[in-house]
Amino acid sequence: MEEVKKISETEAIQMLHQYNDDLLPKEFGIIGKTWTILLLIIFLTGIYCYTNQLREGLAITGMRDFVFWGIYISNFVFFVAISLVGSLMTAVLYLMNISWRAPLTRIAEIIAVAAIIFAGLIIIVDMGRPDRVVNMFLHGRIQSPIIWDVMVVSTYMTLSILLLYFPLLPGISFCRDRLTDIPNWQRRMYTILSLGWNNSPEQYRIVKRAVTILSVMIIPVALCIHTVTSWLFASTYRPGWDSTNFGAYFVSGAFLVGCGGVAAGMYLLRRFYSSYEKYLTDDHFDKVGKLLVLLAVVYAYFSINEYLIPAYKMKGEEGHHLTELFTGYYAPMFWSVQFFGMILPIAILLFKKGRKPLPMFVMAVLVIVCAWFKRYLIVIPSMSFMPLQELPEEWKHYTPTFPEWAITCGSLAGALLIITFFVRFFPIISVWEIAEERGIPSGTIFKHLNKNNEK
Amino acid sequence: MKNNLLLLLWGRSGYRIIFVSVIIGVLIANEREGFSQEEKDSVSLLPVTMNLSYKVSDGIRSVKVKVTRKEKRKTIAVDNLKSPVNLYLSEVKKHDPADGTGWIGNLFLDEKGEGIFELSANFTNLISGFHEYTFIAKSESDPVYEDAEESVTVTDAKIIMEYSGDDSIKTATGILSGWKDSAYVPVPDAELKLFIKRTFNPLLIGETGRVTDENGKLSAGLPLDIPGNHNGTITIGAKIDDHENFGTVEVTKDVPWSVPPKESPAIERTLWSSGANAPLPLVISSVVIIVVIWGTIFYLIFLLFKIRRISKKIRPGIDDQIRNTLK
Amino acid sequence: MEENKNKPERKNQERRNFIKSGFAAAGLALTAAGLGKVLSGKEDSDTGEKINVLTTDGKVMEVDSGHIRKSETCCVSPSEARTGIPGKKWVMVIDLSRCKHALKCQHACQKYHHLSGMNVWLKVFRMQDAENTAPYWMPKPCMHCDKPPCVKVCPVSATYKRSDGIVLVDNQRCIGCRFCMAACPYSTRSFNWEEPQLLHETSGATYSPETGFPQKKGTVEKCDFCPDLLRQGKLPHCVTACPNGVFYMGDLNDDTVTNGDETVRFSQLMKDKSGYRLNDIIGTEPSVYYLPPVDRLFPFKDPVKEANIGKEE
Repeated sequence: MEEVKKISETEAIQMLHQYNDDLLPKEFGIIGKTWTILLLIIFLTGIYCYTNQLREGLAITGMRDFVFWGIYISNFVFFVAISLVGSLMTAVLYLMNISWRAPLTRIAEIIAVAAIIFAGLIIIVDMGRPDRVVNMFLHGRIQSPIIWDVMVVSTYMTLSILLLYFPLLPGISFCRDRLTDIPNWQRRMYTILSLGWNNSPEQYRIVKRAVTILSVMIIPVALCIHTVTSWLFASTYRPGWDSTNFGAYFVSGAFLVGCGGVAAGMYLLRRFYSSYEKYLTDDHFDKVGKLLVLLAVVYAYFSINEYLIPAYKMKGEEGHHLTELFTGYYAPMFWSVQFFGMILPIAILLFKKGRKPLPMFVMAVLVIVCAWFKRYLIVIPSMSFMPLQELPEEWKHYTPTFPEWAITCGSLAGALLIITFFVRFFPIISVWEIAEERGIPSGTIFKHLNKNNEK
Repeated sequence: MKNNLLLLLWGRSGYRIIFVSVIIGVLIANEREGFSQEEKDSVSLLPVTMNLSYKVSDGIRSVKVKVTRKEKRKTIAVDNLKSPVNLYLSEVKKHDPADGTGWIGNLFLDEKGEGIFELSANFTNLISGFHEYTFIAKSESDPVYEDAEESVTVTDAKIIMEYSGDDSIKTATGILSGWKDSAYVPVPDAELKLFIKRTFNPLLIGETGRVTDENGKLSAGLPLDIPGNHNGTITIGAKIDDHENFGTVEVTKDVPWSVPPKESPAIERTLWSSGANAPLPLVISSVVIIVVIWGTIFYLIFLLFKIRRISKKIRPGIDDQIRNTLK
Repeated sequence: MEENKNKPERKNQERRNFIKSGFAAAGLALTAAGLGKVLSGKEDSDTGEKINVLTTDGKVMEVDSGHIRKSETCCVSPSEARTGIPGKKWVMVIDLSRCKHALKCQHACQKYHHLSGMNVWLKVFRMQDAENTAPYWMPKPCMHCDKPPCVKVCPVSATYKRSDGIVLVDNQRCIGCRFCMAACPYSTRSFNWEEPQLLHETSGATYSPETGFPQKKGTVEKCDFCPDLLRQGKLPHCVTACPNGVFYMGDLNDDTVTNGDETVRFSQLMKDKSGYRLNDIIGTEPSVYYLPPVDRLFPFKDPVKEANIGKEE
């Protein structure tokens, strides 16, 4: 924690007033509305294509008996990866008592919630028989990594929602009490969701205890969720997947993309809500940039383990697989994601000027996009070397079809929609956590907040 | 083409569609007639080959019919005769094709063009006085295939199975005798096969190509380590295949055997068992983890209710003093 | 049937779309097609008896009764099919020295399992272990492993291992996650990506995992060792169809395998001909054994122009 300045009560109340006005959710402008409509269109196109898929079967995708898992699965891995950030930003930084995390936690949490919800949905999209999803509960086999995945994904989803919800309660009650010019349904939503929150110290104490419990618990669960996802691949014999390094490799990659997600989110919020500039400062970008470098270096370390040691041996099928990645069919994509998703961000963000908001944003977007394609490279090439003959030659090379892209983009748009609606209706930066971070005594906070209530 | 035409006209006028449909219907009907006429007149019926074989296995008599045809030097099974193949036994009553006397039954052919007719105990009683039979199989008036008829004449034969076994040598012996004039006499120089009954085809024992001696006898040693049946026996047997006089004759006999068959492993708790048979450490550890994590989650949800309860209890504005004391 | 199988999938799709385009036209087209087939009388003969059957498109179609092959469905229910045939432990031996890529096994398999489209349960691979070694043909059914990786990963027990050694798929329970396809190191499984083109004689059949048909969209299928035949004491279709006696089938518990013509002791055969299992090093313990391609009966002739060299070791 930086040095805590003594703040007088009047000063503090003034600051709190300011925070409230700055951080209350606002109606979207033209850009916000366009953005929402655009996302809605993409999302609905995805839904439409999915109804087609329900009718026609997975034949409308580019998957066939060679490459039987496609971008649905790589997209699933991507979602799971990016959702890990919730635990990183909220739990790890919280437990390490890192002061600058306060304005970032809720951004991270909502990204995590949105991503994990769509991870669950996209995996159902990939199923040949989504109508039988209930079989997992009727006939579930604890021996199957898929069942483990179902368990950890649902657990992590619950934990993430709770971790988002608990610290949000004061914020919801703010909105309930302070937003005047809102439709009735919105007010009712706030009333129900705020659980009648009245800023009593006891309630704060409960929230703090819950956040501590959640922060401790969500770390192992978050590690599990991505490790188990990696086991879906590592528990098979296929080249490129048959790796003991996979769990750590996936987790480190997930932290990197998650951190990229938060950095991008920070920039966009700051860009479109000018009042946020005071809370998402250049200093925050600087800190997140350093974190990004650290995570990218860790990821590079596991990548080396994952690729270079098998490449030293070049064992049979594994060798064919690596050759395809390094110099073959997948080489352009492989080297692009390594360079733009890892090496270039490290190089840029090592410099202080590179950690300014705009270059940070560019790097973060690069990291995210490359991370998506990295998952593509993890999932798809491993299946191109199956010892299969007598199947059509064109089945060997997988090209996602339009409906497949539409559904995948729809799911990404859906996740962004959740984040967008959240930003529209809830305070994305936690007032009381900011206040605490800035050294305002909690007593003052309660007092001030209750004044609002009495109004 | 016709269908395209119909598609073009569709939607223009209902009457026209009905008209065209009628025309097309008539066309199709005509076409159909024309075709079938052509078939009757110009396409000659396909010749078929019928095979008939007789088998007596442990006293159960059966007749097997197989119908094939040649097409481009390939033998093709005939599995689609319109009516079943009729079987006659001329000894029961002199076979008269005109009124079908001597008919003992009919059989359908499977996808391999084969059918087996098993003579029931009734028939065995009926023919107990005879020792020579002539079976006739007939397939008639099929729209595609020519009529076919085949007969086989067999004489009764029997095989006696003997077994002698001590610890080091176990021997199976078959004695073949056939009906001649008025009694069973030993059949020498017959290719008698000794075997052990197995799941599918019998496992032959002894050297191949050996024949019975002047007493109709043939012996072979049994492999000592071969697994037997589940009830502590092994089924040995002897047979002659498609003998010119006797057809196929086969007997089997259960004899005591000390080598049990391998047992399929019992259901274990493994990773590839059903969910109910999951390995215990896996079940226990996952149950513990789930209980701990979800127990905590339910506690947290309980906390949410607690927050709600507090908000009802402490009304804002009145409780400043309480708050001040808490501070 | 044969023609249907070789037709590219696209064409079927187009045909279906066309049929959908006009209701009345569809009815007539189907009837006409049916009649055409009936009248040409190519493969099956006509009985003159006409029967109405329901096609997959839900249209009534008149066909000759001679075309309806009475499928001998054995009536083992999905739950009964989970326990194996008591006391048995099935084993298959494939003698590579006898295979000449006649593909009779495959054709019989496709025909009797009513497989359509690209789902081929029994594939015959062109193998060549190294550049300077001789190529040979290798029929590859499901290995029916004793420690099956596919069964390990199935989340719903849709694929399961039975006491008689057979690994089956219950397509009424399969959720279509395809994890078993990923886990299978032998790549023997295939997936019904679209609605299977059911041949009309199977569309009404009662489903049993032992017969595997009717196939269902969005589920996995594979070679099943023909348990319906085994139950009747008959050999699987590939075994009886092979003209060269490549396939032996038997019960490991009574140590005997047969290819229909010859019946030999399994242990003796393994000893005499150095039997081995495919990729045994990974510990899956297959129920299928191979005899090495030595002293071959036939010279190797490759009808496949573009040589797909099997990359399997």
